[in-house]
Amino acid sequence: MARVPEPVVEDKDPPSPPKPVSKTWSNKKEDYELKDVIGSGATAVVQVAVYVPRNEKVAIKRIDLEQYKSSMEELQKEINLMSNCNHPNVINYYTSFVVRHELWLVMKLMSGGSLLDIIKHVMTKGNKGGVLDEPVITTILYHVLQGLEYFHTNGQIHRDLKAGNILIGEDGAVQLADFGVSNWLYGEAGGGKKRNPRYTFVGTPCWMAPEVMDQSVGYDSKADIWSFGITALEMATGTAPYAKFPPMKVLMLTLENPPPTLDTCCELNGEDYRKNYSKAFQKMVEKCLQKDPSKRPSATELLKNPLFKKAKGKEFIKEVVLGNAPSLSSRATKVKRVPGTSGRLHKTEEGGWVWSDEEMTEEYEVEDDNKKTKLANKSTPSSSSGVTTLQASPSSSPAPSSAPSSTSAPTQSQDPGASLTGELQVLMLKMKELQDQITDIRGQEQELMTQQIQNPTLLTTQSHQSKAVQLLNQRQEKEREQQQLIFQQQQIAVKLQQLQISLQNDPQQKQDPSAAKKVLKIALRKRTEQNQLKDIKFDYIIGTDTADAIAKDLLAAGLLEGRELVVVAANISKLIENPSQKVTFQVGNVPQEQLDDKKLIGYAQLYVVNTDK
Amino acid sequence: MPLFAKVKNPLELVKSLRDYLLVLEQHGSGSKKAEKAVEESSKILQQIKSILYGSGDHEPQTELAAQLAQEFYNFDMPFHIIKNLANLDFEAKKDVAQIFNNILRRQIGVRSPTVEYICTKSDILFMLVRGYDNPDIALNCGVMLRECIKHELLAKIVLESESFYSFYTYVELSTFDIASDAFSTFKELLTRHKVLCAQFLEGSYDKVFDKYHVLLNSENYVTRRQSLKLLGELLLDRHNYTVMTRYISNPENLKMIMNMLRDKSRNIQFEAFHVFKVFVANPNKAKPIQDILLKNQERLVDFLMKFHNDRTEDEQFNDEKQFLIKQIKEMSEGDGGKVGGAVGGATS
Repeated sequence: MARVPEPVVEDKDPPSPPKPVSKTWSNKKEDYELKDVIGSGATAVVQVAVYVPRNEKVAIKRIDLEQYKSSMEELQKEINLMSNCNHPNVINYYTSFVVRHELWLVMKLMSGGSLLDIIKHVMTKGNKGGVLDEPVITTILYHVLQGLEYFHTNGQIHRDLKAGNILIGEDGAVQLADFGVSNWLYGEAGGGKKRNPRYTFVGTPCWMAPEVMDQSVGYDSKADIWSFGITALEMATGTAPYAKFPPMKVLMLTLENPPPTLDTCCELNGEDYRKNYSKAFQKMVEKCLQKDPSKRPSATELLKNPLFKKAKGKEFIKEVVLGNAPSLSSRATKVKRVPGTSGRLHKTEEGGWVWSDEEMTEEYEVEDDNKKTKLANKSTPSSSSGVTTLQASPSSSPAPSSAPSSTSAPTQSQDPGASLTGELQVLMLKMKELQDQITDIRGQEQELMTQQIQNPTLLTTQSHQSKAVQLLNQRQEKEREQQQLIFQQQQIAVKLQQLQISLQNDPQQKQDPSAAKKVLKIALRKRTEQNQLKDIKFDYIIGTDTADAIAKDLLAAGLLEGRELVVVAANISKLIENPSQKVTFQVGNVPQEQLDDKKLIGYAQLYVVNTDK
Repeated sequence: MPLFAKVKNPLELVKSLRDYLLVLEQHGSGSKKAEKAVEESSKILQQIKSILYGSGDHEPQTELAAQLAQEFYNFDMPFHIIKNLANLDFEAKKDVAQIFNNILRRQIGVRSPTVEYICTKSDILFMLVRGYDNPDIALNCGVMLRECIKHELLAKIVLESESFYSFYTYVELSTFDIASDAFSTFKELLTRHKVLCAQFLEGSYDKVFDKYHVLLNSENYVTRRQSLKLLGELLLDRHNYTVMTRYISNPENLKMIMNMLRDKSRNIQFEAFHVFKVFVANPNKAKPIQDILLKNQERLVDFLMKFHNDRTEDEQFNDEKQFLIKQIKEMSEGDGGKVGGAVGGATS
């Protein structure tokens, strides 16, 4: 495959002058005159700046390294990814340097803002029957596709494609941005021999491909094609199809339902978009949103879709789109999200995945009215309502679980799907509550940050610092709880999916308990970093699961440390061989004299929760 | 849709690549001839890459790949492409790194023919190190160099050469991505092959740590933070026991670390703590070390009592802190360094 695709459409833009010799940028702070803030997040602000030697405007992302939570290596990776790209449709990175304890990333200023800003702006003017017109959408998508194709031939996956990460320049140029979560598909600099599929759970749920949510199958560049399809719908309807649901439900809907279409959006939003978008457009979206990634077209194939013959050059975007865009200065106060700091599931220092999307938390205030009453139950784990609680008690154990032997005449009449869904709902409520708390803490952090920016001397005051750290600690605690929930939720979602598949394959199975797989409910009891004993519960389907895979899942969900992986896997196998025997084993690096296998100091324990019940 | 009129075999590919590279060497950049050579080299590199990695629906071609590697050695290709790397275009540079790394990873049984080849052509390694001097190729060279030093033989050559010391300059470069790439390589060199690293650190102790102190006192926040963190890791690695004992018996080192405990940056304070603890936990403290600690006994206890008290979640840190406070409190003049009899988890 050639790097430069055979042009299927004649050049959309007038032939560009011979590529200018790459301009040099100094690494001196004095050469950059900082102007308006155009975005801010927990650990970074983005500002317009003037590069004095050439009187040229740029955007500078200032990352506070004292506050930055991921490792320096992560940051380095993100920047390396950017500097490895040289394509008109991928954000132009100029240079980066350290100013006191900040890292300044100098990038091209995309003064049109993000496509999301534009969509929101258009929507404030009312948008019956569609936000952007088809010619505009196809033109933008065409440019996005070229950036995506470049990414993919480079062996990279973007992993967080959405309108919020598509930037528009003042000349109408379209660029992909926010590499915070993107990653090499095969080893460092694409060096690996095989294209190893990835297993990490990143991205923003609404735009996330089912295989990325599933985690058991791995994914490749086709995950971006799914997000591309969702983004197409976002541009037509103003939001991603499931934007109004909480993240948990989005996962469930995406995994369980047929892929969303324009029709789905019509139903959900009570609007009729169909008349404004051609069959060809809808067909293209359908192709991208196929659950089987191998059936989705590649970026290169998509570029050949006749739909994009109608695509125009950036001049067109400049005229039509930027005319509708909010001005940069108005965004300066309005825009809250900063590329790379929010609006996605991202990794914390502890290795857990958390959500931090302001848009999302605003949008999913649509939960049911029972919320309050249900939440009131949360402190009593085995609520009398019979709804399965967070740490599901054995009696309400979901899934086509079956007892190992004779006593199995369980409540098989009960629809396992319904019980799972019930469990999910409870999780979702809990999740929502946690999310609210986190949002609240984030708000306080943001405020602190703002004070800091306005009054830098605050940085040095002890009380200010300890307040910040206290907030951080609180939030991390909540976020850890959240990870647990996410993990449980994923397990249920996957089970639901399996259940559905098995029901489809064999309608008899529902009535035939013996055909159901044996499921062991296992608990891993270990101490958290705060030294509290906690049970991590998970299901082990005999014949389907392997100890290794389960341990990896736990690791991926941030519930295990890397060094615990092997020992946990080994002990899961041990437990499976003899489920009636609790297994206690050493973990962590607790000093010899403190070790205590009764109190589980320096030890963890695995046991089966539900045998014969 | 064949892009190229005729598919060349590995020998032809390597031969013509060499010819174009020769043109580049002789004509420099800018001339018509050189321009064509750049363009043609890019095309050949793409073809080579697709043999090694496969392309689109095509799998890598194993047999051709083997031939290709052989021709690479025969024509000294790794040497020539790296020498001319700066003259190639942006994408071709990335292709070179991928091709180089692929050929480097080749194995025949337990043998790594490319590693053997580079051992006889160590200039390749030094060219890669010098790559950090040129921002246009620094990251490409870094990717290749790190792949090289995964092999102990090659890491040894770099460590034992003068060019190792240029890393002390590279990690302080003002461009963050290049400096931190150089730092990753530097760290790999000092930590990857434990026994080799320990031998090296012992053998070159004075030179390595004299220069290291410049990094610890750098103006650049990132350099300071990263090098302090690495220092802690080096000292706590049991392979480096001899180095650690030597380091912690030098009072100058203790003074510096104590100052860093009071750095403005909390992250640096915290990293400094992890080096400081090694000094205190040492059961056989040298006299000068003991003197400093005793002289500051009260102040240190006070300081530690208030040190990062909000870090309540980090149990290990709090245990270690309590341990240090106890150790320092219990020190007295006549102890002759036998204070820390029970070494906690800190040094073991």
